Amino acid sequence: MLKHFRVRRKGIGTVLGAVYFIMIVITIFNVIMWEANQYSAYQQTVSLMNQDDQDRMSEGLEFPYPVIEYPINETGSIYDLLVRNTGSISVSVARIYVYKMFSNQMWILEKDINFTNGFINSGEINHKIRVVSSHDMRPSDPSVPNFIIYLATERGRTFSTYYPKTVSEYPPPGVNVGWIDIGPLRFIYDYRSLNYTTNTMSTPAPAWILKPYTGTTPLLFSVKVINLSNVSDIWLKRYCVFNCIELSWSGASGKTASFFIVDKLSTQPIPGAMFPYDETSPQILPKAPMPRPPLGGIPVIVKFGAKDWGTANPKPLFTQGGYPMYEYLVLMGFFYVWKGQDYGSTIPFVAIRTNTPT
Amino acid sequence: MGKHRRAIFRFIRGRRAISTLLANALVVAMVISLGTMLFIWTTGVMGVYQGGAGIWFMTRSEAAKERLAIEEVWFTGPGNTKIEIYVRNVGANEIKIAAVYVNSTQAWTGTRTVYVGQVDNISLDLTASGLSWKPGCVTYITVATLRGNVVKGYWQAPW
Repeated sequence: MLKHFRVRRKGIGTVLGAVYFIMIVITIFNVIMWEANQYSAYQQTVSLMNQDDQDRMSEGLEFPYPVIEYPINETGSIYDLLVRNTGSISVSVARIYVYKMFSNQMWILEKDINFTNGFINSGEINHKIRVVSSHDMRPSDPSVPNFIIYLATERGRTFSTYYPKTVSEYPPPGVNVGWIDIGPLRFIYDYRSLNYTTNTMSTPAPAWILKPYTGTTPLLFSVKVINLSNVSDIWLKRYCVFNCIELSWSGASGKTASFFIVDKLSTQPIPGAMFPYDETSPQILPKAPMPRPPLGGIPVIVKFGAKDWGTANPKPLFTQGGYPMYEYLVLMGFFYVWKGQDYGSTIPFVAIRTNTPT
Repeated sequence: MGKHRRAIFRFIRGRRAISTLLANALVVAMVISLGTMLFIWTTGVMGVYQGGAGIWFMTRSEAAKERLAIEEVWFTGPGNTKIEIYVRNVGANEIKIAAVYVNSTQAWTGTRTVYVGQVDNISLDLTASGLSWKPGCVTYITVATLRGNVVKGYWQAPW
């Protein structure tokens, strides 16, 4: 056979061509194998990171009432932070941020330096994170939130709560004391969710009782609103109005004082600090990041203070002199565009007073 | 001797077989040259492809390993012009932060390396970009990395 092949004079070109062909096929095959390996390694990386993402999304922490306990002393700097793990995975707290409201201060508490016992197993209902800091956490006014506490986990989630909690964690069955939902809108009933400023008062104050308040003083109301829909943003129309209906039995005239929406950058009902609402760049309530978000979505502050729609003309609640004690029922008209369509809602909102001693 | 002379004479005078030899030689030469060219071209193309694909897989893998979390945003500073952003690297690769945007306006640019598991804070001075935060306003903050990943969210400024 070999002798036969050796003495042949034909087929050299065919043999060489076949050799080249085989070499090229082997080269291409190598490249395909290399690419398959690369793709496999890439998919492995993606799978690992997806698993991390799933773990991250599985974390869930809550802060049971009263959030903080003082087991050792009453100085307020050593305390236990109560945490409940409602997620399906254990959580390790990496850092705690304490934001002090009103004074705009931030304290950072480091793991193993300022707090211990930051590992919370799934299902733990009354876990205590021991915090040792140099700051007093006792609230100056227990009736209002003084602090916001943020827990940052090692997987990158953040959980937060107000402290002290002013809304009961367990309302009676069927009772919702924290908010009202109408259509895609949620209105919050936190103590600080309804505020006002005047032409002489630049720092917002809770508007449940306007005190002291005298006639002809213009007002700017701020209301916290959340878009619950995760489908579409909401564009507010200039017709949005904050109607204060006077109750005549208290001596008021029984009229309705209407405050129309103004620009979100408005801070006080004075020229240069209150701006007309411009529908061409409307205020947007951003859609919720997910269906039924645990924190209710993204809160937005909507401001009302104009006498007429689309203007910045200031408006008082009434014009009588002195400091009368009046009562008002507040109905809000919300006009908005949602999913490309115009909507309008009447919001039975709050009841406010002027100048009452308590 | 005479026999050899006749054979040589017949070969010189012959009109057949020379074309067959040349054809064979030509075919072999063509196969070698074309085969070599084809092989060189194939290895070149495959090399270029392999290089491009390698870069693609490497960059994608590196980017896929990035995970950045904005832990906290603190609105502070005189004249409402400062924002402190605390970011944590919760991925499997070191992260280089390239830019920060506040309400879609670039407020910071540079290179800040955050190693795996570490937390770092970026101080934004909004004075240069002509921005300032307003009390109670919702602010849209975006943090971008050099590998092209973006983390964004809404934070509300204090009253």
